[in-house]
Amino acid sequence: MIKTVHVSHIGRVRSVNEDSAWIRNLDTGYILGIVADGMGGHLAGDTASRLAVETLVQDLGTLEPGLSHASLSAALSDAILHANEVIFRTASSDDNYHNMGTTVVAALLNDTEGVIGHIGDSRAYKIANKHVIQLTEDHTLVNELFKNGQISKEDVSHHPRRNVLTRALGTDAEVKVDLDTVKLEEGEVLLLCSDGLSNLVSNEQIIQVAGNLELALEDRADRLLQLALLAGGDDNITVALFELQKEGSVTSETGCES
Amino acid sequence: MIGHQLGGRYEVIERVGGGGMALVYKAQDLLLNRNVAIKVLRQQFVHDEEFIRRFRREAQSAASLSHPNVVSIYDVGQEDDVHYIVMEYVEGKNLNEIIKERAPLQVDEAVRIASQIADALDHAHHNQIIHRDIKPHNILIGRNGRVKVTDFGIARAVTSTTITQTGSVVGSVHYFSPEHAKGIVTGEKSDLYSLGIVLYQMLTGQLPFLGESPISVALKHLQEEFDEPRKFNPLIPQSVENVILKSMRKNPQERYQSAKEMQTDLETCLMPERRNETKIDFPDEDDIDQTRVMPAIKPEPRGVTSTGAIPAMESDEDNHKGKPKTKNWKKPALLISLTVLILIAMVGVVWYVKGMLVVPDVTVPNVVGQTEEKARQMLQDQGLVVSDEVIRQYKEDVEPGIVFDQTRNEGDVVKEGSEVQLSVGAEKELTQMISVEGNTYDEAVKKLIELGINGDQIKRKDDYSNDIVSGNVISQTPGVNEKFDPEAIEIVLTVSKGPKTIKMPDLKNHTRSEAESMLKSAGLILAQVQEESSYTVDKGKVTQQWPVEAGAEVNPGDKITIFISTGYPPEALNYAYNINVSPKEIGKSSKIRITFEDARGKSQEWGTRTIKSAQMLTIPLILAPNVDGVVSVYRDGQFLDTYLVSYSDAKNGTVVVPTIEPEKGAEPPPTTEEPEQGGGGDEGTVDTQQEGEPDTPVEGEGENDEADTSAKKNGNGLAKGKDKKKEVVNASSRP
Repeated sequence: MIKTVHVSHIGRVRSVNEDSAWIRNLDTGYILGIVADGMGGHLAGDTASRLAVETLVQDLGTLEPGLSHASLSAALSDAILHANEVIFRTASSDDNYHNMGTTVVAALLNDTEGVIGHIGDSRAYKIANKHVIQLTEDHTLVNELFKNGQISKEDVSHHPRRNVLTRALGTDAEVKVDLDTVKLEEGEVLLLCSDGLSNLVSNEQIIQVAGNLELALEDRADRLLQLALLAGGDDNITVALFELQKEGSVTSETGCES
Repeated sequence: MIGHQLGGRYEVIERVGGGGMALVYKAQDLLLNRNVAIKVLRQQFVHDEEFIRRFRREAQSAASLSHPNVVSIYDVGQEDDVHYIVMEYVEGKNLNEIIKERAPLQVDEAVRIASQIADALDHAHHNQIIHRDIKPHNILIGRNGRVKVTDFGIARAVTSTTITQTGSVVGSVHYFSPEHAKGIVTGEKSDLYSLGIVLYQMLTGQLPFLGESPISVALKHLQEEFDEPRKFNPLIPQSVENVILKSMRKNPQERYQSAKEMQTDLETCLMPERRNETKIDFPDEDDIDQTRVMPAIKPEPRGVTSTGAIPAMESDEDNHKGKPKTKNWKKPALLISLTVLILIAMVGVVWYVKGMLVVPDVTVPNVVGQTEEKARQMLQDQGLVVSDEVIRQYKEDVEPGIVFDQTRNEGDVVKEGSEVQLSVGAEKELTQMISVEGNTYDEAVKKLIELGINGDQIKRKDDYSNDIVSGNVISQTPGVNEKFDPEAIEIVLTVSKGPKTIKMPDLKNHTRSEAESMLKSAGLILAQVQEESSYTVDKGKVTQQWPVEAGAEVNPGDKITIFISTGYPPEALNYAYNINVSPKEIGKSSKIRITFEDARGKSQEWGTRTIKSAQMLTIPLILAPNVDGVVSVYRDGQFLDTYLVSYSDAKNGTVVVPTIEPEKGAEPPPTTEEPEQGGGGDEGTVDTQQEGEPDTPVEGEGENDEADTSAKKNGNGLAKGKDKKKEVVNASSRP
């Protein structure tokens, strides 16, 4: 049984929460979780992330049950591309939304296996056995520079332009979605988050908190959030967790917006 | 904004441009009666205090610049949440437009423009202002030809973390200096690099680094060399190219040290005495490596000072002086040993010649049909020598590598050591395929025939292509540079039939997502989705497609706009029209058939109903202000009457409920109770009949047909129409 939880917080500096999140066990048997981090200034950023979540929920909420992995991947990719179209159209038709965009990371699971689609620098991690694996690759300038050997790992976290994205949802008519496969074993945790968390909380902290099976899943999400706030909270923070729990535990969905 | 008065002083006239961060308007300064340009921060940023602070600060520092080649800042202001900068209005074009229109520019013009930009940068740099975003869009050329650089320091405000930064990267990445792309400090020399690129672009009409994405362009600034400008435009003098090469060095240390230095170089580079300048030379990466490893290879010269080098040379000369002494006693020994060697050699030659004189005879074996290796072995075994010159040629029926001829025939008796020349089969000589792609079919055939191919070896295939003009070759087998046997090959040329046209699918009455996937699978693009109300198409479904009707020919990639029904328009009136109908004769069955027309269409079938007593029948109508309802009643196949239901009557509730009397028997019209009883009983009958005989209409087949066609006519296959049709069939099938 997969248990899910998500929390989102405006942080200590920003005046608007431009992150949007959604996570649920669907009636069709799938589990869908989405984290989107909008950008584009007043009203535009939160609109972009909200449109992304709404479009994905609407498109994926009515999938027929029992699809193959390939079909799930295709459906998720299509839904993200559809969201791109929706945001891009809204941005082009209204000057107030000029050039808005958002990141997105979405996990669509069928039982314990599924697919992760992402664009931008919101991330998916898997925490298993005191290890953390980053499943997604950031679409950022610094990551490209790092991959090309232009800057070192240390430079990545101090680069003045580290929040420049090379790919975002809704800023261009066309976009490419990165898809990754994910499979959860018992006691493993899947984490989706915005950069408000990943920029401030270290991998070790993530392992310690998210991998602490003693704690209730809600408490773990909340603790991660508090860690990011303690580290400065200079951006909106969003955390979504999935955990494969032992058969018989109660599935629940909790969310809180602040 | 237009017509608005900002700060009680600037009357906004028109919008003249806009970027990611601000919109630019032309305005009239009412106080000084002159035109000004006003940059207004986009609404989405006005709530971001940090950003506003930077915006103002940068604008203020840029305002300290006063130079004929810098767009002057007159004023910075705020009115409610409108933040703006008032600037000098430059009548003319920006350099980007000029480059688009007529690049490459004349060398002297380009140099003059670049020199003025350098002058502006020099002034700014002296005031500790780095532009950070030098690009043709930010360079205005006035009507008098004066160059004005704008947007000083603004780029710095944009680097705030709150702004969508994809836009800012995409915009100017082509002019990024490598250090800017890398994110290290950008300084004066970054502006010089960008200016070098602008000069490059003015003179060649192209950008030095192009890529599919901003990131690939940024990486090229860091990693790749660019094509030298003179490759594209040989008219560029070497001295001018040198300016570009120097300003575009990846290492800032190798660029000009200041904007002033670059400007001076630009001003003198077209002087006659620099006409024969040679290409500027920079130690490339390898050279730098060499200097680094040098100490390891030559430690001594490095350790010795320049003055100390002379003694070292002297000691060398000393060595030379000492040498002759040793040579003196070595010479006789050498002479003696040489003589001994020659003697030995002579003896050897005598022995050899002696041996030659007694050469035995050998018989030549047959080696035809053997592999070359085997043949050599066989001949050597016999003491024969195989000539180095082996004749290799293609021979029919001879495998490559097999001997097919020998110069001495089998059985010949020859001296041992005689030479035998072999002829060995070789691979057939192959021809290399040339490229005929993009040629017309006839040209391609001509070229291939010139290559020695017979015309009937060329096969033609036709296919669609979006890129290749109709009649030209899209592809060829064998491909370019493939080897082939010109006698046996069959060449296939695929010739374009032009772009494939497809039949436009009929999207009408499909849902939006159905229509989208239909367009997608047909290779068409959904351009726009508009909404309109419709009487005939269900809400959420497509009412019309534009600009191509179903069945017409379209090209893949064509853009189609669809209109989605929002259902009936708000003024539509849903009205249940009642008629009292009696059978022909009370107590006996009469079949009542009703047709109607309303806003949804003409001659729609309501259905038939068999009644024995007088009943109230209800016909649901949809009325529009300009379309009245018309209801026609038939009894036992006989037309009785037509009733008009006007929109205004229906709206006001003043529709008369007509009553149709029985034909025979002067029975009074039924009481109000009767229709209900009769109706209820009747429906019950209908139900059982439906279950009993669902498909076979026993009677009234003619009516059935009619109902069918009418449903098709106006229903056009939409769900509503289909339901109605079903109802009709069932109702009329009862006996």
